[in-house]
Amino acid sequence: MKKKITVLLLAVVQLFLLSGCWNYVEIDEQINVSGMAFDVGREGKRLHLSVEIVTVGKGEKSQFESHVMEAEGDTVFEAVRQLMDVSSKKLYFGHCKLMVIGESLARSGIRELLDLPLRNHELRTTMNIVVARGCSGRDILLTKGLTTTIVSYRICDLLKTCEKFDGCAGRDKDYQIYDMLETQGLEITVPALERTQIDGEDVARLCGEGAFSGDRLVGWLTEKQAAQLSMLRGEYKTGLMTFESADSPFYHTSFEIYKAKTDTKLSRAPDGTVTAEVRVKLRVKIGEVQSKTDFLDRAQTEKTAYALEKNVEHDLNHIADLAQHSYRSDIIGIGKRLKETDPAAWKALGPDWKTNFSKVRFRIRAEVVIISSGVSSVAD
Amino acid sequence: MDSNNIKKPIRPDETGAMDYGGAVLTSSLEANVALIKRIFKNDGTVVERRVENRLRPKARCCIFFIDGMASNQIVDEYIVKPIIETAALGLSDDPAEELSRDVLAANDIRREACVAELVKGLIAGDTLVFAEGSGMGLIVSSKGFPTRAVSEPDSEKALRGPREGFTEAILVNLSLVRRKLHTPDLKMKFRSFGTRSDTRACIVYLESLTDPALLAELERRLDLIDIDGVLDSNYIAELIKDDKHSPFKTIGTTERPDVVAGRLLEGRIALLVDGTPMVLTLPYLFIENFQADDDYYLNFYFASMGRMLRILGFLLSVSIPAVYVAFTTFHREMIPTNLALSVMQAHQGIPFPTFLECFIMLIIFEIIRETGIRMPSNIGQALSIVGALVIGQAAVQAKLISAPMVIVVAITAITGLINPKVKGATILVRFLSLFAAAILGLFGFAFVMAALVIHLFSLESFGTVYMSQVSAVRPQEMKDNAVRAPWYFMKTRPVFERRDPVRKN
Repeated sequence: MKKKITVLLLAVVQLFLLSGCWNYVEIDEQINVSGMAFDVGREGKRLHLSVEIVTVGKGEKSQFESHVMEAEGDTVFEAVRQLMDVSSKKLYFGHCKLMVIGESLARSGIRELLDLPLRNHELRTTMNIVVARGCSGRDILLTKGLTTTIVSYRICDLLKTCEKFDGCAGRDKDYQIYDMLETQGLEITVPALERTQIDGEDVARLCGEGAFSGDRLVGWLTEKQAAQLSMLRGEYKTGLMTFESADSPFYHTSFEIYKAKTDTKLSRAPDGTVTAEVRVKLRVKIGEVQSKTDFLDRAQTEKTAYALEKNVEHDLNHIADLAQHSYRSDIIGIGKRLKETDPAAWKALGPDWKTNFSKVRFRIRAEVVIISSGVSSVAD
Repeated sequence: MDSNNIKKPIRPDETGAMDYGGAVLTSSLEANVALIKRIFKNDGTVVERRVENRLRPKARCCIFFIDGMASNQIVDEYIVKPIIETAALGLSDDPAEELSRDVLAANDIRREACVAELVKGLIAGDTLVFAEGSGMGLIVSSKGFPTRAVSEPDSEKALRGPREGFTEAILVNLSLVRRKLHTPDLKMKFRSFGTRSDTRACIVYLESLTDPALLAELERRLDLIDIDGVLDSNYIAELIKDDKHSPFKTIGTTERPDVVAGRLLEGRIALLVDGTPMVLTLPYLFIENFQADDDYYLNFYFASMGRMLRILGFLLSVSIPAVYVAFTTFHREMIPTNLALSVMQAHQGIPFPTFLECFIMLIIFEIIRETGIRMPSNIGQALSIVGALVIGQAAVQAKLISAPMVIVVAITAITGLINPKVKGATILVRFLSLFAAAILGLFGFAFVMAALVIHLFSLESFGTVYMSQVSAVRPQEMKDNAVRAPWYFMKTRPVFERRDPVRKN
């Protein structure tokens, strides 16, 4: 019996010694960080870090309060450690859901910012990443939350909602962006936020995406362009598109896209130029009509569908042109597809893909099927 | 007095059993009367009544009975009156024979020469009759002591089904069982426990269904019992239990005759003990902790839902405090953000660590529960006011306890009460897992749960694996676990019944 107890005690004591990280912390003995923002450092350091922290106010019916703390550092980790000089309790990043990158920092490269969440156990790799357009990341954190006091969580909700209705790809998590960054022949786009005024208060607003070349920001896409880019990439889910009506330019028609399918076929001419044949098949429902189109009339329906095809083709061509000539960045991912389908070609063209991409010939065709006129069956 | 051959003083020996010092009856009435009076000296309830026959005054008798144990009516009308008025006494030279054959109008009369048996009969409420010239005494059945009426047991209420429960009188209890099973196959073996209390007990079983090995094992363990008094069946249960250190019961108890009958039909054995309504049944399986008697009387969908809720209740009751403490102090990233924030908000300004807060609240609840059992029922209102108001509301408002903790403890408490049969084990495991979670987080909790499962699977109840039904995979073995299968599906008896497995075709 004595021996038994001794053995048991030894085993239990081992548990304490071997179980590694012993991270007992009371939940109120730490400060929750809800989001962070990076800008170019001011005092000779590389980075300027701002974090939004959630605290509970004093008093009987205490509410959440959001504050912004700031620090400088050459690395993200150093900046986080610098924050401890100010905060009374340990900062906790387990519920940090947002990383905002200021425009000027984004233009000089973002790779270094994505690294820490992949190494540190506390920072989540599922953190949302956005770039600030026309302002610093800190400015975004300092906007108002409108429906909630915590700005970062509001922005995360915003991204989630827009992903559902705008047809954007929604690949904006830390690990996804890092993956894309490491993928050859595919450049990243990151959701962009700007400041706007509502009731005299600064509020963050989603304004499309930032297009990157490598890890540097090179230009912007509007929300509509971002949706069309994801259509070109073949990642479009559902969303809305509005164009001028087919029969009168004065009126507009909105189409709800139920299903989008993109087929890209690459072919290489003997002289080395790559041709991308993109076929976009859309199944749409008429969302709203301002003109007097009669959708019971097959001719008019087909006319509308044809007009929509032409519009989509025109817009997609514009995106391709933007990527090829303005940004000179393969945000569409043609290079990646080329590498997958024709490795030999990629071997030849890959090293100078930036130049070769701008020579790619796009042949974009859209096929639209109107599956419903959207009119409710009950009319009175 | 020497005529009774007493060699030693009459008193209990070192085991507690009475030692009559070799006393024997003689043919002298006076000597026998003196012997009984000597055995029961300083006992005011023993009544001595001398009776003479009206026709033959020489045929003298003396009767003894205990006031309150014997029925006055029986003693008056069927013992005293016939002796006085009979004409059939004093004709032969064996008055004891005459009395039992021709005079006494009682349904059960035994002629006995052994002093110990006579004393036993007298204590049990029978009347002793001694006649002049006879070396034997008569034990005349005249038991007539008050017993509690058969009523529904408070601790095992059923929504549907029989409303009767056992009482403290073993014969009444046996009749309740017998009324459910009208077969001579139902065997009732009496034996007694306790050298001083000499408590009667009865092993009840259906001979054709019960495994003889099981019965032999039970009797072997009962033979080993050495105790001077048995006041409740738990005395015996603890003495014959398989793993005496386990908090889990491996012997069932019930107050309901229908439950006993049901278990007898499954090939189990029941042990009734005089003086208590709690009847032991064995073997006992873990799943029986979650089986209620009216599971079998209600619609099987409804019964199965209740059964699953009870199992869920056990799991929740054991794990909720531990998981809450582990999540809020070790794995804060595993709580959804909004929940984490509101827990943080609620915990702001609470002076205790989460674990201590939880521990205090659980102990307070156990105190309230224990108080509820112990205190006189007419001051129950005071308890509910203190419990609900002071501990629930005021403690939260005074920022001593956080509001989520009150909810955690409340759910733990309610789910703990859903299974009264495993109450003790639930409380123990709950505290163990709470300690482990406070030290090692979810890892510690998992460690305790693993230990619990290992322990449960190592238990046996009289040769049957305690968890045998739980780990079953064949439909016929799973029929009475989480789901109570409809009666038309339950074709075989539980696994431990090997003699006659098929219940019906």
